[in-house]
Amino acid sequence: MSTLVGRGLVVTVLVVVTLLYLLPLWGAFTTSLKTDEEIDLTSPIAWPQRPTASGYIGAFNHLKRALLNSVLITVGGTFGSVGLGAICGYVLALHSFPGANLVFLLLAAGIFLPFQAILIPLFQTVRALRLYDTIGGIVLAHTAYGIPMCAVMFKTFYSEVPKALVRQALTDGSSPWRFYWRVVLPSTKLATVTILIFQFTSIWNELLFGLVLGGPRSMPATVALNNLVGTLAAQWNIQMAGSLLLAVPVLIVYAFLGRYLVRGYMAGAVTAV
Amino acid sequence: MASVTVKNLFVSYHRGRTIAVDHVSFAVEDGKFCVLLGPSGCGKTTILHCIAGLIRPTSGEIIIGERVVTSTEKNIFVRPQERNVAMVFQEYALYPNLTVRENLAFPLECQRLPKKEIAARVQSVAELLGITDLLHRRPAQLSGGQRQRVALGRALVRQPTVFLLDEPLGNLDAQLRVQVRYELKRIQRQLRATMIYVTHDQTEALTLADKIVLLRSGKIEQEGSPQEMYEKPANLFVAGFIGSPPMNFIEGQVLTCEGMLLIDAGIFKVRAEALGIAKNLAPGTKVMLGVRPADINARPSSPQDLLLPAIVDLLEPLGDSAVVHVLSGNFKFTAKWEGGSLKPGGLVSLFLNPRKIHVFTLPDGMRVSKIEDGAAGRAEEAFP
Ligand SMILES: Nc1ncnc2c1ncn2[C@@H]1O[C@H](COP(=O)(O)OP(=O)(O)OP(=O)(O)O)[C@@H](O)[C@H]1O
Ligand SMILES: [Mg+2]
Repeated sequence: MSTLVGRGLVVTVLVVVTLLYLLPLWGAFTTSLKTDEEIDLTSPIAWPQRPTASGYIGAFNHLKRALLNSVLITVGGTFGSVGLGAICGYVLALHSFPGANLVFLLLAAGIFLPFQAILIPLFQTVRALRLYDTIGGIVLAHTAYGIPMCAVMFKTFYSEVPKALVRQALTDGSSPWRFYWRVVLPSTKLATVTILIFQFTSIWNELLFGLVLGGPRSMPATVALNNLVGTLAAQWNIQMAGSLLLAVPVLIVYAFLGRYLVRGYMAGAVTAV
Repeated sequence: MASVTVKNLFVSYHRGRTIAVDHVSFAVEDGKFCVLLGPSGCGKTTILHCIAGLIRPTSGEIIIGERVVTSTEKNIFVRPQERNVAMVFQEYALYPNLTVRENLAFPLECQRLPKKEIAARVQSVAELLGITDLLHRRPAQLSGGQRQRVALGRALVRQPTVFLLDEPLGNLDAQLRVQVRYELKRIQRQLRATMIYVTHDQTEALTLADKIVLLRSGKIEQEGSPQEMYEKPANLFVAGFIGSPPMNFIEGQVLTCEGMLLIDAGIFKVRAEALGIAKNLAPGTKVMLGVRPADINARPSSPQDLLLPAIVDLLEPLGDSAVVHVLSGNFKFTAKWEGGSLKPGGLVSLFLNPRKIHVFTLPDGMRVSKIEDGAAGRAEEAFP
């Protein structure tokens, strides 16, 4: 009997917490479908009497350039940092070379560098490279900043590949590269997906690099949305619609790949014998 | 195929505090089967890895065929993927994401052979090892014995300079082990392949090897043909390691009695002359006498035979024969028994030809050579 009560209690708490979490999202959703007048008159969580897509159309018109920028920046930055990080992680985990420990130490230190600390030198570097206000400049920044985290995560996953396999591959006449493409990468798909999602979400949601390195031509959607708040003071429906638009790609990624993410975190992520 | 020469190989770890291989030198002729034998941790795997190029030795030189592949002195190190050695590891190390067919084809793909030739070679090796039915499976779907055969196959599809095999039969059951062992020897003969085979099982070594290199704590104790190692073990360690059941040992002392040299072993005394040893031992020398169980018989083989009355302690039947553990005085030993039935507790008379007794001096444990050694050495050369 008491377990039943206990379970009921737990479920109630979970439901309440979930509702609390969902409430702002719900508010944003309903607001995004309302007209300006209705927003002023009704409670934020009430369902609109006459739902309209005008908020979305307005938001999309304001953000379309920035959304495209975001897509380019995110795709470039994700593949850049994950690709290079994977190679670093592979070599660090499975091939020894002189100075490997030092390299690993420096990479690990790179993870703990706060954004803010490198912002000014980063800005100066990017400008010196004549990449200020270009997609390429922001992609470069995300790639460089993401490599340490990716490398360390990949190293952790790849360390579970048995060393005997590496020795076998080398005596089979394989180059380290071939072994990577043919064996390591295909047997660690979960790890790759996990890290891809991780990088995708962090770069998509990132604001500061875009703010500092981006200008009118290259600003990502996060920056554009932030500007929207400043310029369209009262147009809540457009702002809410914009926020939701920004969340869509992340939601799609989670919907399709989320199950890998959970498995990647839970399991060893390596299907080695 | 090629010969392999290892010169003065030295491998240490922890800045010299652990010595894995201690100045080991040996040579394997082209087309010969060499077994590296020794107890666990004696450095067998390390030597093999050095030959494959997976370890850079602290010092030493390795030559495969005409080519110096490792030399610390000349600062030469050929990378493993460029040595063209085929290795089978103690762990099977099959690529988990590839099918058996792809596993077998992998080394050939690395050589960029034409697809047709790869397919043909994979097929013929699969037939040779009886794994054609498994070609589409992944390693996780195979039994231990099947995995082992795939691992062997992956080495055999290649035409390497040398095969390096690290306990490749370790995980097979007794029956399969004998079968694959036989297959391996047959293939080696057929291909005239140079093979270096690591094991800690002396039976395997005796049955497979053209040459055995016996190691202990990173040092070579003795190298030679299986017959030599069995008949003329260089020291007590070799004598005890080779042969199953192991050699019986009994301590003795050299005495003089009425002008004759005698060796007193407690349960028997024997004239030094009867042992056929090549040099005279000084009276008072302590010795260890070694006798193989197979040299203790139910019937005398010569008039000089020593008689050992003993009490049967335990009988281990082996089907056609038996290993009998007996007690003579307070000395325990084993004998190969091919006579009639025995009962524990019963009395038995055993005969021992003194010529078959191995004599080792103490405390160094070195074998005292025998008169027939020289003759046997010459006879062996005539052997093909
Ligand atoms: N990477 C290493 N670091 C430190 N010591 C090592 C290392 N590799 C091997 N050793 C040591 O070197 C010695 C020889 O090891 P090795 O693996 O060659 O033995 P082995 O003869 O193959 O034994 P087994 O029959 O158990 O496989 C052992 O004492 C081992 O502890
Ligand atoms: Mg070993």
